[in-house]
Amino acid sequence: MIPFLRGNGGGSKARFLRRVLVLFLPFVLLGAGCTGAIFPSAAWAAPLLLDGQIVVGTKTGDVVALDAGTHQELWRFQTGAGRGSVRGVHGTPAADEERIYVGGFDGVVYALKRSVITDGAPEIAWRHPEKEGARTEAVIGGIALSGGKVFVGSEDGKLYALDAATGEVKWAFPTGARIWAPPVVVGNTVYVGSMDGSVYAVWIEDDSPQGARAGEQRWQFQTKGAVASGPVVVGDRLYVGSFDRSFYALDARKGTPAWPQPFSAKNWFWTEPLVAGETVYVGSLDRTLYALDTRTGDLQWAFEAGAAIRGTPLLTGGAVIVGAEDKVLRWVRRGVEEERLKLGGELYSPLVSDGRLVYVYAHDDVLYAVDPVKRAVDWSLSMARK
Amino acid sequence: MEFLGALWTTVLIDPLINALVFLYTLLFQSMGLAIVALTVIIRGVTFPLTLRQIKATLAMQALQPQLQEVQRKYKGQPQMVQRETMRLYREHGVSPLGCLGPMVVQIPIWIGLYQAIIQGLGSTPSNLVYLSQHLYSWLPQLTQAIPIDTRFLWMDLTLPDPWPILPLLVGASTWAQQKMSMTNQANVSPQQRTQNQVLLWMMPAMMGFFSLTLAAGLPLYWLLSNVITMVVQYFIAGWGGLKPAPAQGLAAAPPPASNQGRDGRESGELGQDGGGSDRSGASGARGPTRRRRRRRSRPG
Repeated sequence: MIPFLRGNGGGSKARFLRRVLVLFLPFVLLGAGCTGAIFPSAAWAAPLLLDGQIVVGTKTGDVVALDAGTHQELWRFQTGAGRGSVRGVHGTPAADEERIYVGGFDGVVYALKRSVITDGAPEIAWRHPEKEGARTEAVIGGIALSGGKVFVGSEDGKLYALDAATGEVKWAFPTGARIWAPPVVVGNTVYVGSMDGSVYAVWIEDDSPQGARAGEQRWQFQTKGAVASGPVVVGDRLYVGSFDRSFYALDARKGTPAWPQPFSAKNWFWTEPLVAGETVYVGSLDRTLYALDTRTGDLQWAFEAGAAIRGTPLLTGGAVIVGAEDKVLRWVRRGVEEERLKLGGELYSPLVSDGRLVYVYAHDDVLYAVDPVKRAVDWSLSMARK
Repeated sequence: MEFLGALWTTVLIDPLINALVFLYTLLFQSMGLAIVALTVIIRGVTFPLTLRQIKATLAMQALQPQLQEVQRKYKGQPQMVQRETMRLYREHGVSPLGCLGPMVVQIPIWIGLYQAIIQGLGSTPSNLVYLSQHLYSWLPQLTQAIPIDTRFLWMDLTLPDPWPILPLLVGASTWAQQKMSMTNQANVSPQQRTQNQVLLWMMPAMMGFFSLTLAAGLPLYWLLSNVITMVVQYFIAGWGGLKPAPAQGLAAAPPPASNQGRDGRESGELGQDGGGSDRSGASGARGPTRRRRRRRSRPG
């Protein structure tokens, strides 16, 4: 025992307490340094704009429906907790006439009845998997709807096609690693990126003219990094970014590169691009917004935002609006910042617009409705439980 | 405060994150092996400190009889005790703080490693955004390691061990290392011996509790660190308190020279670091040996 820890005064009890205090001080420090939730809550689903309603998936795992006119909360549904007790809706929900489909960090896809609200929450039409606690792999990517099927990727590495009416699994397509990217449906093909570094095109139906079967691979394109961003298909071009710091344009029918070489940035691409005319706008975690020529991949201009860009930008009035991790919404025209608007939380979620207002869900758990003309917040509402 | 946070991240968190991911790419994409390798590296780098600590503790043990004599002589005069104690330290070139050096170094490493594991290697999307901002761009191969598989054996290293196996191992190794560092203590009073026994059990219990609640990567580091410390201690001072108590006939044999006080009595314990901290001593002597030493230590 180190003598000086014993002290010189007081009784044996006091000495004992003094020693315990000194010896355990490092552990108090350790406790202080290691406190807090193991994983912080975070989510970045884009608001879903329906007729007269705005549906928001939140970082606390809630799905909240608001009246678009009065901004009053219509109902609220809570998804479950996943690994590390984390909740959160990362993927943008999807909706048809009858149901809203949403995936949670608890690994469950919920189909919620739009017209049956009981005690402030919608009734569950079905959930997949049906059994509670059956899956722990989270649903991170959003949901795609087409032809009565729900397409969703899971952290178990599979892309699922579920019957929209019953939740029954129609087919499941395995990839080499977890899926965090939202799937995209065009025609008879569903496209999805996987953390195994590939972009996959999968047949949806088995009566395709090419004679392929539903759930079979149409093509696969391998990048050198994980693919967590959703692809965007315009015409016969598919645009997708990868963690290998490259942004690709592929032939959507064959999966072959459409540009002489991919565009390279200084950090990962983790956002769906915006394609408008002959320009594709894409943000990167290297804190830059790039405008690329859709035909060649050549850089038209670049704008340094100063913070990581994860959300999809939006084009309005000839200017590109882009949100970044520094909580700032910026209006950029030809690589020059015209205006900036500081919001209350980091901006990771894609921007959406109803034609009048631009909506963004920020990391402070607040939905902001921004007037893109006045370039000011029109209204905002906390998504936290009252 | 913002500056301190940035400094902490740049100096500690970022190097730890990048080292872990780099080792992960080298070691079969196993984060468990990466933590094992990082532990060995950190303990290797801090080895001179560990060595200095053990030597300082041994020197301190050698002073125990004189220090106790000072306490007896100046009982009720705390200022005199302090002055004489400091004089003894000066005369023998001993610094009590020398025993704490490695522990002080270890604490920020623990906290940094923990933050690196849960913030940098965590398997949620927001963790990955954080990681993207902290990987060194001049090591492009690190990007290709994403997504990082944080599973190791039965655990996810970014989550607490679902079974209490690792916490039990950490608790057991902490106890064993602590016990090993305790040499026979002839000069401790019965009250102090009781206190030491309490601490001997309290520390492993605390480490075990921490291991139950923290991401498994850190307890894994503690476990390995404890084992390494035990190996180092074995080569410097033998099995220490882990050695079975000597038989009655051998009890009178003189203790090892390294643990002897000037009057031939044993005292104290070896300093520790890594998986533990400086911990209180407890008597390894039992039965007749203990009684004999107690008689010897009586004044006069």
